Amino acid sequence: MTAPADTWAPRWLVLMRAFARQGASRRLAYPAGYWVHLLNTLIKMFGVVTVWSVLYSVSPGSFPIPLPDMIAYGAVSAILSELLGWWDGPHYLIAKRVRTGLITGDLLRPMSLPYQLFCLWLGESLVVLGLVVLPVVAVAAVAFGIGGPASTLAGAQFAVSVVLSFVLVFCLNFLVGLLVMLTLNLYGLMVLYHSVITMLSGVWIPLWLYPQWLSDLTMVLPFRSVYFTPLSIYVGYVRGGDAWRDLGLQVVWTAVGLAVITAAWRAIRRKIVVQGG
Amino acid sequence: MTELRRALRHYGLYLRLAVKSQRVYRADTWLMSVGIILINVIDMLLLGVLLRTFVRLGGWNVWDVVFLYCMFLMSMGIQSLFTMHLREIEVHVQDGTLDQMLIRPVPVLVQVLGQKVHLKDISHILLGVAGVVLAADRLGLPWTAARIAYLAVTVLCGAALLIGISLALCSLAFWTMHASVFMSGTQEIEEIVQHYPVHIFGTWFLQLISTLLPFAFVNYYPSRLLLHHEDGLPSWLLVAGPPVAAVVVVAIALRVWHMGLARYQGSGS
Repeated sequence: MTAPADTWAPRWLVLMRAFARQGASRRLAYPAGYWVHLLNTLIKMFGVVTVWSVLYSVSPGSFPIPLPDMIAYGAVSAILSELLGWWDGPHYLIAKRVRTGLITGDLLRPMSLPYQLFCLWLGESLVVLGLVVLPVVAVAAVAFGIGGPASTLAGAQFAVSVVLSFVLVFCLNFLVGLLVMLTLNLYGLMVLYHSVITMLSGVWIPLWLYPQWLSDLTMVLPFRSVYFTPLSIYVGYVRGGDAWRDLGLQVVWTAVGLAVITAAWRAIRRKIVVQGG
Repeated sequence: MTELRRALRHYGLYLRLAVKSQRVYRADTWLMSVGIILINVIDMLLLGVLLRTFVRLGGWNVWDVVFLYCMFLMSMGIQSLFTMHLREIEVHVQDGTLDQMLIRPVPVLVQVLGQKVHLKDISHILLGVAGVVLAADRLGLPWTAARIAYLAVTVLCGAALLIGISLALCSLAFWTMHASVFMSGTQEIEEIVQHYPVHIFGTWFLQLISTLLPFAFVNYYPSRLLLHHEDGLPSWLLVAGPPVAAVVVVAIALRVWHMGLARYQGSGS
């Protein structure tokens, strides 16, 4: 029996809700896992906050922004990495489904696989947002004294930027998933992907500390849009016209990402080799 | 004593089989080894970027930190090479596959450990050795027999410590059915201990990782001695700390394992 509310909702939204619910229950299956997740996020935040405080006390002149902002950069980045994950996203699901043969069932559904996976991931992420990110944000604000965004405008731009990052990182993860499908090698690709993200996105070290050639390299790649753009807007390192320019760049990368996964998926779906069955 | 010798001999036999079965997947092993080296080299490069600007972190320079990082890599490499599949204890408990091992005249732990070997993790050890040698060279540290012996012993103790901690945590599966969450529960702490000189995190953190979860004995305390950063620490702690910690942790882990195994009930089918 469908609820009356579903009758007016468009089909894509109904499907999104159904898949998001499935994703949410995947996350909620093991309560113990939840507590560990929460604890690890807190430890990670504690770690980066301490490291930046110590480094700041050594050489305040090396930072283009004040200490509280630098600490905010580290803390927000630790928290964001829970939402914009690159380890167990859609690519992991694809690899697992190719291995076990479950992907045949996914392909039978009258809904594109990228959209199915996006909705699943959205559901998982909403659970993480509500149950991990929000509590950790509360701890960050109360116990660590982490400040809010640089201004109201920066806060709004940050929120938009995070949504764009979420879609962009999904596209990147999905592309890695397709490569896994082609090469049937999960671990090697994942390690490569992990290295690229940690090095070129600014998730660990803000890009202004990079040597010139390395930061130039990040300018022409999409990874910087995933972490550095929202974080630098949040702390006010990038503002005004520059912030709009970075957001625009993020929109461009996200559009490119969506176009590429659509095209790549169309090209590849007939060539899938299923391992199990 | 003869019992231990017998167990070790059996373990050797099992290992030989495990190596044989691993060698079938040669390309995979190579690819993963390259991946492991890449991931760690990039981690150290980023630490280098950080310390290029700041020169010192808690009084340690970039080569001190490389030394610290690579000591951890060596111990972790030995741990992963031989015991990575301890994580599968929970699968054995869930599927009841220990049944077949319980009826063989070889200790169950020997059989579980002997099932697999992870040759890709040799790259952890090799990179660790290379990093430690390079850092020692850059820092002008001498290689005397005593220092080499201390390094070797502490790396082995560190490996034993890591193995003990993972055995204890994985054995909790006998009570809870799922244990991988406990393993990932220490993941962030391990990351911190591997990357940074931990005194920067304050006394309470140092106490935590020196007692309850004694990861600091894997690389931090030995590095303090080898890098001449021992100021303010009693030498008995630096010399006796790692072996004592290793023995205590392994003893506790074996106790937990045996208590757990006594609770094991099979799959019931």
